[in-house]
Amino acid sequence: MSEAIPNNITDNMTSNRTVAILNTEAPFSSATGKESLDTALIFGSYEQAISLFFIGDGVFQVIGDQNATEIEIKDYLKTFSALGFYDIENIYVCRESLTERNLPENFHISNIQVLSNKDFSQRLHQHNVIFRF
Amino acid sequence: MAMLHIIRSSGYNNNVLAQCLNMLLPNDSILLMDDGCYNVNHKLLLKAQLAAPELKIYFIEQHATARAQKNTAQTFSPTTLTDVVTLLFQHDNSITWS
Repeated sequence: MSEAIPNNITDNMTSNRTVAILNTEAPFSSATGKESLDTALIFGSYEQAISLFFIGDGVFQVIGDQNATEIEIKDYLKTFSALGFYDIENIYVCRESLTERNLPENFHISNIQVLSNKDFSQRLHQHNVIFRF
Repeated sequence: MAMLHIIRSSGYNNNVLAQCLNMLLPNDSILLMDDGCYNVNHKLLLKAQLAAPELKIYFIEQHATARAQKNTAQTFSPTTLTDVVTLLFQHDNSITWS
C-alpha cells in the first residue's frame, strides 16, 4: 500500500507526529470517557505515538476502587489495562486537580505520572495534535 | 511551542474557561468562537490579560455581534473565520475547549 502513496504523504502519517488525548470528564455520566479510551486504543493499534492526559473531573476516571457494575454500568475502566499492549505508556495526571478533589494518588492503572499544573501544561504543549474529551 | 486555545462555550456555565487558563503558557493565544464569545467580558479572561499583557485574545466578530456581545475593554482582537486559518498556522498546535 505504501507504494501507491507518495512519500510526503506517508511521512505525515507516520508516528513522528505525536497525539495527545486530554480527558476532562468523570467516567459514568456520559460515554465521553469510553470514547476517549477507544480513540486511544485505535491510535495505538496503528502504532501512533500517543499520550493520555487527565485534568479536572477527568481524574475521576483513573482513581482506584471504582465499581461500575454496582450501578449497572458496563465497566469500561477495565479496558485501561489494555493500554500496555498498545505501548501507550505516557499517562499524565494533574496534581492540582487531585488536590482540589481531595483525592489520594491511588490509581487503578500503573504507569501514571502525576505532574504539577505547569509541567502538565508543558508536556501537553509538546504534542502536535490534541484531542479533548 | 505556541498553542492556540479555541474556546467554544460560555465560562459562566462550565469551567472549561478556567481549565483553559490553567493550561496557558507564554506565547499561547486564545480564540473565542460560537458561545465562547459570551466570554468577551469574563472576569477571568480580563484578569489573565492584565497579568500577561502580551496575551492575544481573538474573537469571531460575527459570532459576537450575533449574540449582542461587545468587548467593552476593547483589548481583544476581532477576527473572521477566514483569518482563523492563518491564526492556526501561526501556532504549533491547537486545542478546542468546547
